[in-house]
Amino acid sequence: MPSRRDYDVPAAALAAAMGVLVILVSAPFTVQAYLEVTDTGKDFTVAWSQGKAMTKDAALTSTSAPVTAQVMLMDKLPAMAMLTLKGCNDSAGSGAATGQSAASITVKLTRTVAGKSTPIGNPATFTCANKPSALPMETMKAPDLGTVKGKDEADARAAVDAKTMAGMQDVTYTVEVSATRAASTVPSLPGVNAPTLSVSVELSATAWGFTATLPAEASK
Amino acid sequence: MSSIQRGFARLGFQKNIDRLLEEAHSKAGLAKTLAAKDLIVLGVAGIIGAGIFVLIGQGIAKAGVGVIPAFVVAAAICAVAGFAYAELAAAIPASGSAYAYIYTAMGELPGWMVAWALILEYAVGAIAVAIGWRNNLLALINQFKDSDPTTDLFSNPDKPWLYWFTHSPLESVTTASGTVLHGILNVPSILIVLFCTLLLIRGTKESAKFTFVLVIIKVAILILAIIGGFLAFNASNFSDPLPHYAKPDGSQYDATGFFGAVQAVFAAAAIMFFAYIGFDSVSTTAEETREPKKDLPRGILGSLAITTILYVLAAFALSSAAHWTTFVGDSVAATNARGEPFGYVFEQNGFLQFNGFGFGALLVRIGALIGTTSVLLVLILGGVRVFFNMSRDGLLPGWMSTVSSRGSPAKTTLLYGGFTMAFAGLLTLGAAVDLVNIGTLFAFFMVILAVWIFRVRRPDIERPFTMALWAIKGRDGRPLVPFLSILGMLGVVALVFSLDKFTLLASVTWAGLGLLVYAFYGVRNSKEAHHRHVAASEEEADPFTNGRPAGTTRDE
Repeated sequence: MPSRRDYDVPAAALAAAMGVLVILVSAPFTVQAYLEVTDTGKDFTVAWSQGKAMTKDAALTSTSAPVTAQVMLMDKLPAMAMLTLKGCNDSAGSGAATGQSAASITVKLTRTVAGKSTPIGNPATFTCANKPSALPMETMKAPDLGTVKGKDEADARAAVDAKTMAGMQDVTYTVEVSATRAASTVPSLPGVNAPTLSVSVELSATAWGFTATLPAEASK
Repeated sequence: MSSIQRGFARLGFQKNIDRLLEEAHSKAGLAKTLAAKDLIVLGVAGIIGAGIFVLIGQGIAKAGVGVIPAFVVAAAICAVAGFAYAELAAAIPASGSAYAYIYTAMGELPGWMVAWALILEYAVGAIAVAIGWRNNLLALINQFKDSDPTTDLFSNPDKPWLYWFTHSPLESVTTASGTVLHGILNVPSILIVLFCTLLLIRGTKESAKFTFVLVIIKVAILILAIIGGFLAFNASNFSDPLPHYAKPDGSQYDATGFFGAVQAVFAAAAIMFFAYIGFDSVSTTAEETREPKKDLPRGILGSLAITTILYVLAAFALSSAAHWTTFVGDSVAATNARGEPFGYVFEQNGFLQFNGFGFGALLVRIGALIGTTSVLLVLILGGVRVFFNMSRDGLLPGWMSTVSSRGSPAKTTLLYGGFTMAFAGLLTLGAAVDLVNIGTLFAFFMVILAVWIFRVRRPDIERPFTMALWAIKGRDGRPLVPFLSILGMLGVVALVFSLDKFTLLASVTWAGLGLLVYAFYGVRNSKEAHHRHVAASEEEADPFTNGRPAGTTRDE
């Protein structure tokens, strides 16, 4: 009667031989196929969001001359340029006691591309006592690209850059703040100082940035 | 008999079914706590994951309205496998699923190879689902962040720790402002695997109760998603129902015309098939089932039927709510529609939108999170049961089949959970993720084949449930050409070839590794071989009896 060993030894040898053969034959092709898979690339999901805002302040302290501030976006996809009225103080605001008029403040936003300037919206004109609810602003849509193929994140990013290159610009946004004040209706009185004005406007501009990620791994 | 013949005979040693039945009733086994209802719940829990909320968009991009028959085609292939599982589960009521059935019907080496494939399926599946769970969680949390578009909560250079501790060291992202962030540890994935592992160590019944709650919630959310889709019903979406468009490389995709439509439906079915994977995990719990012969077929086929109805309704609702063109292309809108089809349709139609907040998308995300939690539970449970059964058969070390005082294989669960935690926390799967699918497809193929072979080899075994084979039978009534089995196997093969080349080749290499482990450990330690030699030495007979009851001969 054959012993267990008489069965196990040839069975183990057969299984081991088959295992070695299968690995020797398949492993090189597996590695090659893996390289092909990673070379062909996978679908990366592109998510657009606005990058960190670049800001500059324009501080106006008199009605004599306008002040400007500029923000430049170099080789970017502009997303938004907006103005924020950070402060507005006019000592002649009430006017009645001194007869001094409130300063009329004007804020303009312009975009300059390749030397050509274009005004954005209508200039906002207001007084410190009657601050505007909105200042001129520009918003631009993100590129309509949600999927790219890539071997890895860097490759996917390069693919996105290539597809959106046409929209990339060197843009300069300029805010100009100026003020005028109507002449006083009464002669200036001794001991009454000239009215003071302080207006601060922040210009911020953002560009579109993106992340390229592989979608969720689980198909279940 | 030459030594080579003895070697092949040894590789084909079948598990003695009488001993298997005896083991299933032995006191040392797992606690018998599960009824048919629990098994249906486990099946639905394993089947409905996050996939249905995503894959359906990809299916519509392939087949348009043809996604509806695609679900039926995928369900039909799964049903053949489901019937086969049900027949074998009822006839061979021991846990171990496909492994135990194929060991019994076809022999030790085929059984080992299926178990080896299932180990990869369950392990890769658990890691992938744990990582997917993290992605769903981050998407859910991101929906609550403030409306400032300049901040993405988990890729924010001002709070890099949020990225560090939610991503593995192999993951990195270049943020919108150009900063590169690298992950350190995927903590969310580790925590969810830890939670599932501890729940399973507490006992199968406890985890089944928890799973029941999850299933109710995710089915409710799926039904809500279906209702949302039907509310956006637009009959015009059924005009020009099949996709046809120019690809970026200049070639044409055309699903119109009979052959184009059939091809598109099968291409979509290959995608939709993976939304059904999981029903087979029910049969891994046979030993914990009170009446396995009745309850296992009910559990397998019941869960498959429930999910097929839900999936077909979901496909109908979504393809009637949005035209296929919505899902095609590389635009932001098309990508969103494919990535989150229900959420996208809800957003477009204002379903469950209040004050600009998308409650519809939120519900779908909660559904996906719950779906992945229950799938993770089922995957860890299934993987542990395969290890448990292989160990009990001597093919893996014995400590893996020890049972805790609560009736669960605590040590193996801890090992399996720890392995999953380590990999999910530190790695990504990349191209290896499709190995989940090849393991399942191999098991399906072998189970369908095993039914046929087992009918031929052991027609005497009591079968409380039998699948129709549509077979040409021999004079002795044994099936010679079972058309349904052959159709089912061809369907599985067609799906196998829809997978990429790397997945196919990597699974072959994995099989080679399995053969080596079997050769150097399994062969020597197999308890089946031991039992046969003991029985043979008592009767002074050859141990090569092909799994027939002790005392019978090969030619009986």
